[in-house]
Amino acid sequence: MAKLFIFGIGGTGSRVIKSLSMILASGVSLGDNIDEIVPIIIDVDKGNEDLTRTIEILKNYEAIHSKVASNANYKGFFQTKQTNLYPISGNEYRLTIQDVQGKTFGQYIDYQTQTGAQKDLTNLLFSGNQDDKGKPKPLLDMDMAIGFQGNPKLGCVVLNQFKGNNDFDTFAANFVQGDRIFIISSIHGGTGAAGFPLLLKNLRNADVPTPNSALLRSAIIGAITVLPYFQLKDGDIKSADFISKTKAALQYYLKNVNPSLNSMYYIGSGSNTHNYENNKGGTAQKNDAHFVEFAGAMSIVDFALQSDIMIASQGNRFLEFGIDDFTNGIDFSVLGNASNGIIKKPLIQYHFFKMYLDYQLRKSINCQPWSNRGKVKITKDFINPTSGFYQILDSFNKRFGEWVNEMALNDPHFTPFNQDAHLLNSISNNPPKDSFMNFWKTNYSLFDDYLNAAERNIGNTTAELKFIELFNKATSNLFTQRYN
Amino acid sequence: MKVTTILLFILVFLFSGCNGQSGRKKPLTLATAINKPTETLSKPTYNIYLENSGSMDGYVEGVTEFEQAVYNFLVDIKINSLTDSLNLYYINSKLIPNPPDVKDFIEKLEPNTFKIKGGIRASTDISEMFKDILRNTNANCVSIFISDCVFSPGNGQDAQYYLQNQQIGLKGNFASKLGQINLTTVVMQLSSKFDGNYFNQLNQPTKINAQRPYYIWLIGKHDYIVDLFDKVKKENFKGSGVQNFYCAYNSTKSFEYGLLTSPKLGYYDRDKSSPKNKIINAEKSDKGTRKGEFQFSVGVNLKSSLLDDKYILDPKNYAIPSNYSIEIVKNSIANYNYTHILKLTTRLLKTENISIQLKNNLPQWVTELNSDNDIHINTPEQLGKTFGIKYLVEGIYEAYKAKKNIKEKDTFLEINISVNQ
Amino acid sequence: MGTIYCWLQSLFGQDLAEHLWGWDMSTQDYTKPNQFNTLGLYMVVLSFTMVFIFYYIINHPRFNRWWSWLIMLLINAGLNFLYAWLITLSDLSNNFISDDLMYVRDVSTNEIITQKIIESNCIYFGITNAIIASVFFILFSFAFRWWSKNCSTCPFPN
Repeated sequence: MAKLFIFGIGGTGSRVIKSLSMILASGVSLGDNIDEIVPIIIDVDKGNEDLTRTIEILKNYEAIHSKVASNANYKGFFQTKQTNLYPISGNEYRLTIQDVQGKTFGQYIDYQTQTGAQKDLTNLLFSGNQDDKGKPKPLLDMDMAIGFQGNPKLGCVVLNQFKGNNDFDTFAANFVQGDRIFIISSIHGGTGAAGFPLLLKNLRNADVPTPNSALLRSAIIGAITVLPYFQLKDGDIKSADFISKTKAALQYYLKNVNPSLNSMYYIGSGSNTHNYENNKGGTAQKNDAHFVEFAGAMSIVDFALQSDIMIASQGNRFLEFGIDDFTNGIDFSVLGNASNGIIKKPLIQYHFFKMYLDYQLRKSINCQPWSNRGKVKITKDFINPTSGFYQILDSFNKRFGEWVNEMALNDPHFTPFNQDAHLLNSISNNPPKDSFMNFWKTNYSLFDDYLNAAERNIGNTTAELKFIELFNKATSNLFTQRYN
Repeated sequence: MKVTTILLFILVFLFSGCNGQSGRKKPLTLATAINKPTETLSKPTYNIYLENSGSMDGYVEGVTEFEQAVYNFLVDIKINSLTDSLNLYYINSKLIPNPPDVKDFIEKLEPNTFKIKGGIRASTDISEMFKDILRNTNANCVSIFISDCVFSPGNGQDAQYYLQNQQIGLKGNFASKLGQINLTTVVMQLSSKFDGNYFNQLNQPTKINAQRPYYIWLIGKHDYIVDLFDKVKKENFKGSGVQNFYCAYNSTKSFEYGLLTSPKLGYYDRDKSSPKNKIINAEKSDKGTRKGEFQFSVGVNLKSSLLDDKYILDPKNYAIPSNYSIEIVKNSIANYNYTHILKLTTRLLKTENISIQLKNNLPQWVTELNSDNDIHINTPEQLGKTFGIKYLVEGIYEAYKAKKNIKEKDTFLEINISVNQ
Repeated sequence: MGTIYCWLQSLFGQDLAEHLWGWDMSTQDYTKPNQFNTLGLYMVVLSFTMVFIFYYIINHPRFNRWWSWLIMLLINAGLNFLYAWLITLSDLSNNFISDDLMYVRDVSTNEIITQKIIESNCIYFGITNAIIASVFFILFSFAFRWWSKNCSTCPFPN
């Protein structure tokens, strides 16, 4: 089985990868072709809060996966393997753009040493100012530590360093026949808009000394371009410029990008009244999760599910994301059958899982047979603060909760779950089916009932795996019998 | 832990397999005794034999208790429809039939009538009389013999030698009859005014006017005798009433008995599989004035034993283990089918099988009323006695003994109780 | 079954025990039906049923603590108490008990000296039945709980 290398460029790339992690955590399968993803985030803005959150989530996911999915036949939450290529602490999951820390753009291009015609060209290309706290600042003086702040022309220059980049070489060395590549970028941002075409070019034109260059040239590559889907409040970056920049980029892609791709996905959202805070980057750039990112992650799933034959040819597969009327918010009832077929059951399962952990776990632990029956028991020690596994799972779930809440509050509202309702009624527009036999077991007692039943089918195994498997089975049965 | 399941199944199975009585009727531990004859007996013939030797004249002179008692007895027999055929005889050396009119019979009880009726009245050969009576007694017949039972050796006979020979003769006759039919013999001693001549062993007459004993014998099948006493109670005899009593029979029947829960001292359970004769968990009493003693009670139904209370209630008539003492009381508790209750007490309680036997002894009165020498009859101690009565009764006693089955012990009743601590 | 009951005989009295064994005064033997068998059978069946109901019918995640089990045990004990008490009380009131077990009578006068079986004997027999039923309830619980979905670790895990 093959790997899928996912390049997430810029803030959008981080957030889509985050959504993907959540989706994979809920147990969505990437089909028979892909069994492992390798997220590689490319962002100059190292301190970006989105990036930081995403990295934390990826690390937690990896830790949980290693405990539960050691058996190749494992199916359920955290099923898909997710690998980090870059072992140096602090650099996990990131392809480092060299030589930008602590430099302005001018310093990066050695503006000071330029003379004559070169200098004139530079001035021509890179004239203009960027607003910096209300005052104009020349582009050449922009501090690159926080990215390109909506200026692709700067990114084009800086990011054109894949060839020879150590981290890129590491990636190439791990690429084998059958592996695929997917690139996430936003069309209007700074880093993404510039980086995507450059990366693609470096892949399709890979050559020695880049390892496996022949494979890279002929690799199956998919990409998603995320069109504008949010506005910014007034500030240094002008979201009004987004549309014009989009058009310019698309024009370029038509000739220089599209023909090289096996699959090209587009997504965006026109109406957006939810204005984000106008933060250029750094720890303050923390955009709320958005449904578009969720849909973007779905495109990756779609890409992985296609057979090689389906997507062998280049330059002729273009996809958009369809949805029913969403003026009243998006939930499972307006997602199409195709999407629901992939995501509905797993996501609901994970949602139930999280609800149980939040509201019922401490009450039931040690009191129910799922916890205290069999050779392997789930004890209070398992969930106390000093235990490793549960704490990682708990912090992952906190992020999951944030992700769901942010998407619910964003515009359009993605509200698959009603957080105020009781367990069984917490799926929006989807009440549970009546059950005669279990009329007197409701909500969490029903859940415990399913867990206790599931315990019977779990053999001798580790506590962590048993724990996850209990919920795999219980939530699956709960969904199948009461919601399907 | 599945072991517990299996264990439990075994437990439940074991205990639900009823060990013991679940309505299944257990046979009574002893052969069924009868209080009354269970089958309707056909009515026997009653043959009444009244001795009319000279020695009897004194009983019928005038109106005597003798006449009253005999008359009343015969009337009771008739009233209770014990028989359809009542035959009256005089007897001495031969049987002299009389008309069956009882009233007439009694009215004619006078010395003169005795004389007129004939026979050899001078002496009494008791052995011969019994022989005649026995010959006339068959399975459907009850013989009643009324006599003073005084032997008459006569002058010139050695009295002892005579009495012994008589005894042997009686024994032989009875034994022989018993070999053919299993008969029961009962003797009741009454007394009456005697006004007349008493002929002693030397055949010398002495005129006396005093209370003298006389005897009423009954010979017949056991069931008839029981039936008779059921209807004609001993207590209802007129005149002196029945003062002493003896019965002899070889019964194949046993008497019903069973352990009772009270009266008792200490504690015991009746074994569930044989509650009538097996005690388990016996413990001595540990409080009260009789601390340290153990007592259990056995109820026994002696209704058809024909034995009288005097005999039954006498502890001396019982053979019991040396560590026990016995007390017998009459039972008035209506709910028990027992006539008497035997209370056995011990201070030395141990696990053992106890045998309680009501011995078939010759009653004391036979010895007490016996006289070996009646020459001086007119003395207070002799007047109440009967010459040779002991030999008479003993002869019959021995006949019965001889005819017992070897394995039968010489007891009326044998009770075996198993005492277990 | 009677053997089990008779271990606790001292609670409810030997005389009531004899009656239940089937003592018939007229035959001076145990010829009446042995009520211990019927009583015991009902007790075993009832206890088993209560265990079955708890572990397999109710079988509820919120009713699987040790005190839930205790409640069922007490209900079982209560039902068995009632049954045994009422049966013996009815025998007592309807004069079905042999006179020689009921009373100690004076041998000479046939008068009643003491009454051996009274209502409190019936109550104690009810209690005895409750105790024995509880024992069976416990045994059945441990024997049969293994397959219960929600209650197999009740009253305590193995």
